[in-house]
Amino acid sequence: MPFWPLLTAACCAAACALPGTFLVLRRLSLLGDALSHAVLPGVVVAYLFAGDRGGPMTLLGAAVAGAGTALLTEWVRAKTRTEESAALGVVFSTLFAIGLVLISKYGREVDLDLDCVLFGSLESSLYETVSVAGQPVPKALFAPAAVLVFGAAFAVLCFKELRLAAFDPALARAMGLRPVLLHAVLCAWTAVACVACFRVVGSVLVLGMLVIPPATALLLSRRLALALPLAAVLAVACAPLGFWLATRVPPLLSFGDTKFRAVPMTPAMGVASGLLLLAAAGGMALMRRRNRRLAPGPAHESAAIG
Amino acid sequence: MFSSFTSNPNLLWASAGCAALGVLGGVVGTFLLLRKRSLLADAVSHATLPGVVAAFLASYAMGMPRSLGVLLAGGLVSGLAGAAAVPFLRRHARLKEDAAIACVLAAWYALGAFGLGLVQQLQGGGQAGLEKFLLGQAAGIVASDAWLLGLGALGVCAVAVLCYKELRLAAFDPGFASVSGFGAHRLDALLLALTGVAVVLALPAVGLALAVAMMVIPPAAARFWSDRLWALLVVSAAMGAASGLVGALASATAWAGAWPTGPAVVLFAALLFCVSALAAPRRGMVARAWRHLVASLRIAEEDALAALWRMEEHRIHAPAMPGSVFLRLRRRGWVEGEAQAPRLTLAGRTEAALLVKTHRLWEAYLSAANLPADQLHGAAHQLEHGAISPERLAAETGHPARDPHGRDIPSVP
Repeated sequence: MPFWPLLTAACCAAACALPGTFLVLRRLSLLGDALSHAVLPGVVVAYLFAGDRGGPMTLLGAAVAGAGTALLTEWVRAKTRTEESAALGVVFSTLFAIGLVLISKYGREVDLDLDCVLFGSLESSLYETVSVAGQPVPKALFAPAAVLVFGAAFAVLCFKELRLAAFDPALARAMGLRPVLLHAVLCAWTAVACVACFRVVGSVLVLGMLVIPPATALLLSRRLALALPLAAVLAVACAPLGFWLATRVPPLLSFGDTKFRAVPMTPAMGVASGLLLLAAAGGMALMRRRNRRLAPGPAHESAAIG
Repeated sequence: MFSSFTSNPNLLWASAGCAALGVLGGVVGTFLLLRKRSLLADAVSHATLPGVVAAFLASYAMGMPRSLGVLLAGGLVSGLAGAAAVPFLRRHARLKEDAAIACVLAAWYALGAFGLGLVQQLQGGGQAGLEKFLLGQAAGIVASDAWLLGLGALGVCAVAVLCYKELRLAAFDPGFASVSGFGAHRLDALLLALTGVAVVLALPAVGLALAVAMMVIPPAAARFWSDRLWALLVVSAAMGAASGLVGALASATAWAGAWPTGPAVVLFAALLFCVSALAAPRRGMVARAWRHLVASLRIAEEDALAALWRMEEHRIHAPAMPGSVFLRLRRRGWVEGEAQAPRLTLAGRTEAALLVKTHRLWEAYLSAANLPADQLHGAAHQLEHGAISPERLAAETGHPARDPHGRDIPSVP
């Protein structure tokens, strides 16, 4: 089993799952999808002015675009009284369209190759390596790993504030926490995670890891202090599972004289996370049924979370 | 611009197709917006990918030529399956609606991309033609596609007209629709089916990433112009058609520097949204700011007038008044003298007594409602500018002669 692609993919998955947990908790799951589209103009502008791809300027552009999307959506909602999800839809699809126009006008050389967008460039990006302590380490690992480390540190240091803002924004405001600011920070964090992982593992995996492992973790545990690391662990577990699916399933689908080889690993990781969610939901449903049989009564009806 | 129609017949079909698409998205999106489910369209559009890919693989395996209809039918099936999985996940995985939608979107999209990985390995064909489903390619719309889009738009409009009453009920009051025997579930399923058809037809033109825009932006823009459902539908469809038409033309002609069509359509719709948000007569930002300004000026006038009356009551000389407020009150003939030392006229005194009466009756009313005495003045100060008449308040409080602070409630002739 190839070590570096798995490690890189696992880093990306965990880096996305951490901010995703807070998004799912705050009922902003669709913001992940919206942000992953809305960062496009930020990335293109960063490329046009600074000329770097995937470097610090790109991450900065993504963070600005992400926080900007959040603030703009909130502004549109408040000022025009458009319903919240519609406001989000208007803002992110407009920003995405602006990004596409910018690319077509100024940045033919911006890499919007379809394969790269969907699947990332996990396999090919590993050839560029840097020597760390005598070991060749792929360059592509650094950005996701940095986002993961900083994200984990941020989640641990600001755990109380983030938890309060997630569960009781009114109390957070009363305690002087500025929920709008925290919201913008969360969006910037999500956007940075999206962009840092985009080029390596593609949009499909980023979208999946932002919501599916967090939703699974919140289904399994109702304590945030447990669900947060659990989401990261589930996301990491998708890497070997996805690798297994990507290599073992296609040959089974061969027909006639068409023989399928392994497919890119990252979409398979998304599929694996979906299967994990299904398994968790099935397991919880079985447990609930057993509990109900053992102790009938409404006391075991727990409230929905997520 | 119009000469380009004759030189390029494809442009005619592309514009007609995009306009039909706009009508389709505008009509279906209006019902989605009213049900607060705008982003369900996003999930459905991403969920079409595995179906499109599966249809592609199946027709390759059976040696059939690739046809748009088969691919779209596959997309429709998997899109609807994804949408049906949303309530399933809500019930069995106990996810909130937004998390269920996002999970379906991501999982189906991953499955589709997995399939694309297989398609890439096919001999010869490769993934030719499939990438246009992701970002759309309106320039590729030919006559038969435009007819398909037009028929789809016509069909959706026909269903909307036939089921207008039921859909309206479901949009505004799903609970009532349920107890009236229409079956909220059945109506939701109908709306979902319409969404699926609209999304699938939008795929070849604007792609799955922007299909949602055609169902969100025109209805959200139309919402500024009317509160009536039929007007909303007409305005939203018109805005969708206009953005489709202008977007397709802009992308084909030189004056926009050949933008890609999907983004051009979306950006024109966004422009319509911005104009509506600013300039719509009642719900627009300018109109609302104007109403706010008028109301705060009126409140400032009323407060100044009532303050003058209270000064007279306590036999204190009135302090100076802001010049602009004084000028407006003098134009109404309610004060005389000058801004440094204003005096009430007879008409002004009557008007002011009415305001103070309203204020003190509110205090009496709120006191009867057990509001603490130290909060009475502030609350009454807010409420006295409202629309409730002093007669009604007097009747409610039993025509008191004094307010809770012991001051006389003036009687107005």
